[in-house]
Amino acid sequence: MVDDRTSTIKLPNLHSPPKPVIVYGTFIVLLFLPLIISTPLATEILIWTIFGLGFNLLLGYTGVLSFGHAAYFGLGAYAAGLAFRYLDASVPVGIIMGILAAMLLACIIGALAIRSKGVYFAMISLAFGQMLYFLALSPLKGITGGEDGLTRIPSLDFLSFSLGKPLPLYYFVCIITGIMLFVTWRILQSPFGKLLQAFRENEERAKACGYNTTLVKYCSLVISAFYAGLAGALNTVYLSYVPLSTLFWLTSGTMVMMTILGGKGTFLGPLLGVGVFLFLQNTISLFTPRWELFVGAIFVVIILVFPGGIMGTLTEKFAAFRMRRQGE
Amino acid sequence: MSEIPWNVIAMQLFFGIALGCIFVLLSSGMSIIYGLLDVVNFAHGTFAMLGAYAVFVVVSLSDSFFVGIVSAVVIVGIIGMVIEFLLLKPLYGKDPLLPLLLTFGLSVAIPDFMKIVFGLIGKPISFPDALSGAITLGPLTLPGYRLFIIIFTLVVMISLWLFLKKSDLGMIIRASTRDSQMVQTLGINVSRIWTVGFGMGVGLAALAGAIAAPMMSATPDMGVDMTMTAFVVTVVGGLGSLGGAIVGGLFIGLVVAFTSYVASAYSSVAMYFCMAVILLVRPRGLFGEQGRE
Amino acid sequence: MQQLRFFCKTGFLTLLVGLISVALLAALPTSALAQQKTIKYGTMHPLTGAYAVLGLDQQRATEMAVEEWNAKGGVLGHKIIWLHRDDELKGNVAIRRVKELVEEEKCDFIGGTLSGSISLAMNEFACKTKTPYMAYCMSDMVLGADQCEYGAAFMVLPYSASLAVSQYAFKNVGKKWYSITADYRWGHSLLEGWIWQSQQMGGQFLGNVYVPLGTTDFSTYFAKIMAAKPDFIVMNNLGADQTAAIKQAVELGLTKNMKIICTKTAQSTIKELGPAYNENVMGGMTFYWKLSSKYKGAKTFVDKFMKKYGSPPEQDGESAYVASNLLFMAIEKAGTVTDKKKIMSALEGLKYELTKGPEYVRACDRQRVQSYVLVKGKGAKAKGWDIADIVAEIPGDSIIMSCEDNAKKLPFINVKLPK
Repeated sequence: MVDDRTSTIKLPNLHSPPKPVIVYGTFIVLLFLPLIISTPLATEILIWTIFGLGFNLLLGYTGVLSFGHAAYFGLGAYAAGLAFRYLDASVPVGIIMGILAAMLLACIIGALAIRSKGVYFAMISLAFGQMLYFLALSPLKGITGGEDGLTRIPSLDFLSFSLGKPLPLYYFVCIITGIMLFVTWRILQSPFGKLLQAFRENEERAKACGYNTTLVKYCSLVISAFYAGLAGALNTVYLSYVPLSTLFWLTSGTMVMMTILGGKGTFLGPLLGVGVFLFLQNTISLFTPRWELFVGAIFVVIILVFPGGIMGTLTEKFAAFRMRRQGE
Repeated sequence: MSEIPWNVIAMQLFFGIALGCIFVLLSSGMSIIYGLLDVVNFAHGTFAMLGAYAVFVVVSLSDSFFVGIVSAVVIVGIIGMVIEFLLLKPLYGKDPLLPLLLTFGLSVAIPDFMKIVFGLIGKPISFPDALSGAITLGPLTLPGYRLFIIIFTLVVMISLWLFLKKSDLGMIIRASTRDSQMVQTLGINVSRIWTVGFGMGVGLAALAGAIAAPMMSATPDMGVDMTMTAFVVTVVGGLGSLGGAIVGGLFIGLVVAFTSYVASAYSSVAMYFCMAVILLVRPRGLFGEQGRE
Repeated sequence: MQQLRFFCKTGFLTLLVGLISVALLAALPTSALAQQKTIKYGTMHPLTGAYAVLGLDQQRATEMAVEEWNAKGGVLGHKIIWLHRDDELKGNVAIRRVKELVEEEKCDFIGGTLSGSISLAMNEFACKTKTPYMAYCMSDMVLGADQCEYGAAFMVLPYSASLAVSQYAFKNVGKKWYSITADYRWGHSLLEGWIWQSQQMGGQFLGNVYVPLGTTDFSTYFAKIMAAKPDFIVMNNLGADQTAAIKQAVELGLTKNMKIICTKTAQSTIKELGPAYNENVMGGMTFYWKLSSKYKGAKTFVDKFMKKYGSPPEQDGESAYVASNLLFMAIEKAGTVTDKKKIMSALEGLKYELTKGPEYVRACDRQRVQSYVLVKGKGAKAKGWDIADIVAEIPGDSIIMSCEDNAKKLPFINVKLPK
């Protein structure tokens, strides 16, 4: 079914990459985030935003739903953690290990499963994710620490800044987030980015034009695993610990929810979705132990009021409003 | 290898089928909802949990387990219909992921609501006296309640099948599953069929929760795992296929039962492993329709 | 495009203004508090998730302890400011929140958590930031390399629970046993304790099944166990897993021929099981409210808790109460609120009598040495909170290994766990 509003009013393409000012502006706002919310929360928001940027490339811009992204995030986290703990790796090396591990896994899972469509791809990726979780829980516990997670990760330094301190850690993550925002923006502007969006809009047509749709989806999956692995590795730096729950399906589920909440296929959607989600969870739980009731209810309301995600619906509404005014 | 203990294996088979029966009820509900509405119901286990609590309340009022089961289905079915009418209807025709997100929100909020109403500690539900014994069949001791689960599920599934095959409403539901626009053109209010279908689906979930409740007490958080199991079973069977839900449920039940006998630590991995293998070999699940992927 | 750009500009402006005003509002109360002489104690409890009942009792008991001390005029004249957070029983959430407590709220001391694995991560964090950490839960953190001079543990060690319960079981129940073990480290630690004790006391170990966490159907395991005919079944699991396992064992009539012994159980589990927790089911705890007929301290604590919150405290509540009290006692003994190292050494060897008989915190590893209680269910005869009877209290010194052994995880490291 087609949303009839889009056909009656001509809207600017919501999914087109934003102007540079938005990318830089966002980065500048992020620089001041610790003034507004607690630094650990801000750090976590940024880490999840990186994860979300990549996830959004896959879900929002390519139209592939993965329900097993925890696998890439978690593997990135474990790979980095193991490198820090056993190889005494420096921070960049650990992060690169995390990224490589996640991308390698995506290459394997993608090769097996990328041909499946829609919900079925989501479910296969869920199955792989859960298998990885249970493997880490029990058969591989000698390496992963099992239920305890990976502990005894040494204190980390980067360019003589101690990443055990909240602010250096935040700005370290913030700069990487800025880079990733920029990279995402460039990807969306590139021919490859346009191709992704063409597929989401109409895969058959793209196929008819002679593009290898499977290959493009595969690349999109691997790229999003890059983001997930990076986020996972940063999560290890941030916690100095890898909880087993990074691999659990709830991590994937939360990512899906955050992305749709913020507005999939919009540039700032992931940031907004992640921010709202974590901020609500963190704030309401200060007032009542039954915060889940409120967070769940707010969620339901947001979905009903912003069916295109917060960012998507806002942009749409505002654009429609401007159109009307111009018409008068 | 020592001799194979046949009686233990037979027991395992029996327990596996009984477990599978609960999966069948759970996932047939999920399958109906997906088939009819294209909604992946993330709150499916939550409705099962509501069913367990409904049994607890009704049993403590009426003292009859069977009244409890029936009223659980009715109560939760009505709740489901109200939720579909108020919350899901506005989302149809928009992004197909929105209902998933909305039901996720419900699966977060409803258990907390139950904690406020019923307290944090779960509620015990006793086995009905008539079913608490065990039946001895040669070398096998079969607990009565499991036998009841198997027979009960059989009855429910047969009547569900008859309902869908023979009754007018059932035929409309099947037709809407195929092509809702055509049904609409024929002058039937499909929107109402959707409401009924959602009610039926969550009613079946409530049934699963209700008959599982005596085996594990009713707790607010019991739904999460049930949702996951329902996902796996439904996908293995093929989304939107009732036959698939039955075969998938029994299959996963047996897989869990036998892996827990052979290598107990792997029983959760096995479930997902089966799912991955089946989907890789047959991407639409065992009984999924072509073109519904 | 022009509109989009305009929208984003105004959007950011409004956002910025909104956020700054929120920040200003949030900053106000903190500056008002800074006037008094205070110490800050931050605790973490799982108020959501499967163990919310236990988390809530931890939080309540901590609140009670803090209120009592503040009513007495605080610690060394410092008012205790107590902050608590929901750790959701998730490692990443716990660490984020504890970072907030220490880095943002500037808590001087931290405590809490219900999960052994989270307590290990908290313990590491405490060491890196040199913040004293009072672990309320059963944790391995004083064992082996996880030892840290800023951490102290107030529930028994996992193996201690096994030693206590198995001591009683092999003496009074029987020799042949079969176990159901939750498949993660805590479960394995309990099983190690059982196997070792079984070797010491001539028990006959018939077999074990490892069950993944979150299993709801145990019937598939019972077929094997029924065929083995043990005197008793040992349950090395907790919460919903234990509830389901016991319910289904009773359903299959197992309790008619054998006993069920839970290495660790909980008041809420017994309550949740109702009639199924019958006379043939036993469980271990560090504290059960009926100890109030034995100890004066227990009576005061239970009565007060009952009056304030309407239900008797769980063992986790008691552990939280003792841990908070001991922290404040240690601060008082050290005579300083700032010298964390001195406070930790004041805790070492601290003797006290709070909720049970005379107890002490072991000097070498800051582990509370306490007794372990075994209770028996009352089944259909349970009334209100009278849901179990105490059958034995096993003294603390008999169930803990020496510090030298603990450091090397002896003797349990030599126990071969079944596959």
